[in-house]
Amino acid sequence: MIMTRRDLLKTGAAMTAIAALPNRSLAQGSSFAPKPGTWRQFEVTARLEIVKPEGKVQAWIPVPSVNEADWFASGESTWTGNGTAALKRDARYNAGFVHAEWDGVEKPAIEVRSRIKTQDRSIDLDKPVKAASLSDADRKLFTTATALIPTTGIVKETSDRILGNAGTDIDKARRIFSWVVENTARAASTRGCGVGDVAAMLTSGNLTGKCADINALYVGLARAAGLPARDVYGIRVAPSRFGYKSLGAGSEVITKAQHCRAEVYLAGLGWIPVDPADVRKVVLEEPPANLALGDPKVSAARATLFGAWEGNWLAYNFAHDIALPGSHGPAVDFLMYPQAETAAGRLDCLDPDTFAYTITAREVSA
Amino acid sequence: MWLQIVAVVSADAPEFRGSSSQRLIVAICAAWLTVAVTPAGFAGNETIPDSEAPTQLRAWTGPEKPSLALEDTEGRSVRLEPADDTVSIVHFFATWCEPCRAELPALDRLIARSDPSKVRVLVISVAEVEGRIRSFVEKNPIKLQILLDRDRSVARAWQVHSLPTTFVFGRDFRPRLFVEREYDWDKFDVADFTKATAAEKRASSGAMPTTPLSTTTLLIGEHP
Repeated sequence: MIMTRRDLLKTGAAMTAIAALPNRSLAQGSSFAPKPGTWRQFEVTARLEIVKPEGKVQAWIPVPSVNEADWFASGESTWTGNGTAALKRDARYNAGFVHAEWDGVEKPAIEVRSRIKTQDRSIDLDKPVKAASLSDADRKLFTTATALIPTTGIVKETSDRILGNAGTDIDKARRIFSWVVENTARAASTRGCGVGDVAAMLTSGNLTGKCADINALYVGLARAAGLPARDVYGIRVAPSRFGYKSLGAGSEVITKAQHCRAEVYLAGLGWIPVDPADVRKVVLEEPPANLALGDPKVSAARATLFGAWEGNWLAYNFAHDIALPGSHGPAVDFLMYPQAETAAGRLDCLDPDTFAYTITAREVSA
Repeated sequence: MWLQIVAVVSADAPEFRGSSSQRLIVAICAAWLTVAVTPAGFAGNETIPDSEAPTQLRAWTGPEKPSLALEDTEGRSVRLEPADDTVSIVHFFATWCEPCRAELPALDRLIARSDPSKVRVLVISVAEVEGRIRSFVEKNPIKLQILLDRDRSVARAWQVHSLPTTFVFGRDFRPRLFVEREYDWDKFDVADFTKATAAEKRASSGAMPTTPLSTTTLLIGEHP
């Protein structure tokens, strides 16, 4: 689906008239019901071998850097290789990565192993809890614009149009979620997870893409509304236990299973999991494919993925605009893929076969 | 009102489409008309694209574009500078963008059928790494020299909001036309464009237009 801005204007106006939007209570009894309580532990291994080394070679491999008591713990990351390497962190977001360097090595290679613990999330949106308050610094960080997610101009105009007379923060968060679900589409042809250039999407009227596009759009619209929101960049590590083939890793080889999710912070509830991009993935990919929004499988995903998600996924970081230390190239918009550079320039992280890298995951006993 | 036609003395062409004779007429008469397609809430050069309508080149009524200097995939520096008698086409694209990939061969053909002293095409890849461009060119042989806007700095300075976006500069090094979607460059006639901009220049300097205003109005009325 390619939307024009004319469509957007119409839809935006129509959406403001919608008073009641579907919520997760509609999904009670559906088979897609993530439930916290069972922690799972995974070991993820990234193996890089630079196929065409020219001059000095560097690589930056993301490692799990998210620690959230209710749903995710990043364990130790270790590495072996034939160069020098060190664990480094982005100063702004604390996103960790292994920075490896090789000089004159014929076959630069490194293997990075990381352990994580994760579990399902499901927030009861009707029962405010004593959630940890958001620090002023974090509120500022997660309402601020990034290079590709401005919070003014067309993003703010669109957000205002979507919100209409929405009163509470949860109403605002829901309306944006519904608008994104109803106005975007997953494009199978998008490389990797997409670019996430939110202003370009809205300006062009082309709201197709993948998770880095669609969930970044959610984050941008929420931030423009004053709601703290963040992308969570990660990778799927296991199949879905709820029968959604499209929402899990198909095998232990997860080289191309990167997926970013999103969160929005609501007072009294804390960080709420949201994933409109996965709703659109269900629409496009669940058999027999190209499902209608009213299909029961889509409806269940739509209701569940505002407030819950399944713990079959690893969270790397929340980071944007990361300057890679020692790099001659520009900052990366997000760090979800291994990155590498030779004297010939930066390699294509979305082409793991020629890069080359593989990523595997296996569940281990806790 | 969806379409406003305002008769003013202006140096802006409303669009550039149709047969070569039509294109010339429209461009010449543009010196006398400004067409503003301005949906509520959006202004300036913006318009609502209609995915079903054939793509058209439209008049650039915005500010001049800043100079640019970028490296190509081999590390050679390329600058966009005034060059006498040269029409410059500056094209922003990305290899992940499907319409962009379809458009590149037509730009390649434009170069092949044009006098290189009369037209040049700068093709700028936005925010893509060298490795990606190299593998793309290996699989999709094109003669176009691809420049790398690695950090989007040029795209931002030029206010490029979507890909593909293309600007056409006259021989006077002023941006004249632009398009924010893919365009069929097989329809673009450099000689016609050059004549039109020359006629426009004469008109703006006080010379009488060569086409009656009524004809112009009919053509402008075709605008969606």
